[in-house]
Amino acid sequence: MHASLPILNVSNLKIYFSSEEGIIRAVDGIDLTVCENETVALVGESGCGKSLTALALARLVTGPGLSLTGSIQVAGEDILTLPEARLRALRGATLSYIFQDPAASLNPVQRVGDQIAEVIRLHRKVPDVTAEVIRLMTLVGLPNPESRRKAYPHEFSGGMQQRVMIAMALACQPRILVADEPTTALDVTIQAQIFTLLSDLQLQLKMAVLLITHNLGLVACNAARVYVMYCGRIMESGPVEEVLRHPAHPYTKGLLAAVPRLNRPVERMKGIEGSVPHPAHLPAGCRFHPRCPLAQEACRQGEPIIESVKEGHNVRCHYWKQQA
Amino acid sequence: MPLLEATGVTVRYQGHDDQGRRQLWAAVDGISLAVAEGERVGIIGESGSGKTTLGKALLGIEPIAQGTVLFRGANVHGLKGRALKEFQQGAQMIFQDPMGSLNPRMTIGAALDEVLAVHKLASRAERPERIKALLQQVGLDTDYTRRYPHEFSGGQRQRIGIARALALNPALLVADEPVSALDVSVQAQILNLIRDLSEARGMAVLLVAHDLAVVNYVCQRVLIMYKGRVVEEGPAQEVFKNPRHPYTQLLKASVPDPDD
Repeated sequence: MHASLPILNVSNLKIYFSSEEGIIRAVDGIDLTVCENETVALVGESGCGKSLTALALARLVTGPGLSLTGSIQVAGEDILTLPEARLRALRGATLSYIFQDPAASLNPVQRVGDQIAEVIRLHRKVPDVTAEVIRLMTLVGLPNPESRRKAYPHEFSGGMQQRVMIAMALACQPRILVADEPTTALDVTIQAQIFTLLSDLQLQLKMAVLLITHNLGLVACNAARVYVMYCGRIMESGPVEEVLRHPAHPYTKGLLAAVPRLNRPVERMKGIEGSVPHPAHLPAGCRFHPRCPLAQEACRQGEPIIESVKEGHNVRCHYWKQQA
Repeated sequence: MPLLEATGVTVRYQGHDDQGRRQLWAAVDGISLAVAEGERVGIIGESGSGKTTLGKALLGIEPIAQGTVLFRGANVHGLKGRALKEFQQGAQMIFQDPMGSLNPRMTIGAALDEVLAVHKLASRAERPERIKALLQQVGLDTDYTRRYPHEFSGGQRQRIGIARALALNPALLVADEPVSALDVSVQAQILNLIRDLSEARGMAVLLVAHDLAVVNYVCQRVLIMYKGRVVEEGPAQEVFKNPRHPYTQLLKASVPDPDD
């Protein structure tokens, strides 16, 4: 699985903000790798820092008192030190994004064909841009591209708008696509269509995908490896089968136990006690300890280091071995 | 007699056809359903299926073009005065976005106090104790009464919404996507709360949701809606295990399962 080269390499990434309540450590020293052609998922609940991590990959984070440290390598380029002009060339061409709400990402007063064409003109030299727009719209399964390219975003359904976003994101054949909750706003049947499309396109275009999501079902069905994030830290990472079948961290276990299933008898779900702490008031020691069923004195005192469960499967917990 | 009995309920909206001509279309198209006392029924559908409109029509919030809705034998859409107030006590609703249904300038204590006062359910002296009991029932700290909605997390706000509905001791709770804005770890807590309260109080629940597994977890019976119509209905376990309608089959096949 690790045969190919890393296209994205994040190490010790920290994203801090200053606020009236003190320093907010939104992302606090994470390591993450995505290889060519690989689909990797970054999973976590709201406020864990997963979307900030996604934005940081193209240095798109802004905010009061921002401090962005560590290193991010995208296709060999060092993102955090790259001059602005080089960064602009890289955004959309080497690395591109799709987001949760396609309606918010599209310009409401510009025809969708023109919006796709803009990306092409900006990054590539193509003799017939219109033909390329039509080719891209066909590629992502938008019907009647010759006429529909002249339509405005509001004339499309949510699923079709997301296809337009995907066409724009793929216009320059990026090496890595960052998909931040790409189907959270869509119906399940449409979600299934979009993921089928993404995996087809990934095969054709040989690109890597970093899938940011809270949905463990999507992780299981689409990703090869997964990182589980909580309060700015990676709590567990490894191959999807390994992490979801044999989770080592109590947080991962809790998340899995909190998802209702269709194919299992309806037993009482446990959920996870309490709720995510405020990022300015993170607990001392392990960040998960106030909600953890296994928490002991050591968890309140010191933060656990990352330990290896198996080749490629890592966990940040004092007591992962003790769990059945 | 069922607690709630709807027959041929139709809700029409003014819209436009392909050519831009004015046209009436049915968001809810002749739906019949019954909810027994204490029963938990799920209504599943995708966006635009009419599930929320149906929920509102059943509570008399949305005017209906055709059909009848009977609550304990009384026509919901013809209620006035005291009878209307009694119905509103008997049937309560909670929504997807609990922040949107709480007054941001009112403390939680005041919001709950208002409900008890308007419906004359407790004297001024009794109310503080009743409010504390309500907060306890939904798993919130009893000294939260002085706090404002923005001081709570999403899950806590949904608990407040539930507490406010429970204040009236309803026989029916209509819950419209109560957990879809919540994090996974909190979602399970709220679903358990709804199930427990329903069982402890014999309260019927009509759960409107898009998530099949959520409905399967909470409800005994389910209706699948598509374009304003019910395409399949039956016991939840049976429908999800062995869906007969192609649309239900497609829905089920579209749900990504963490165990796959």
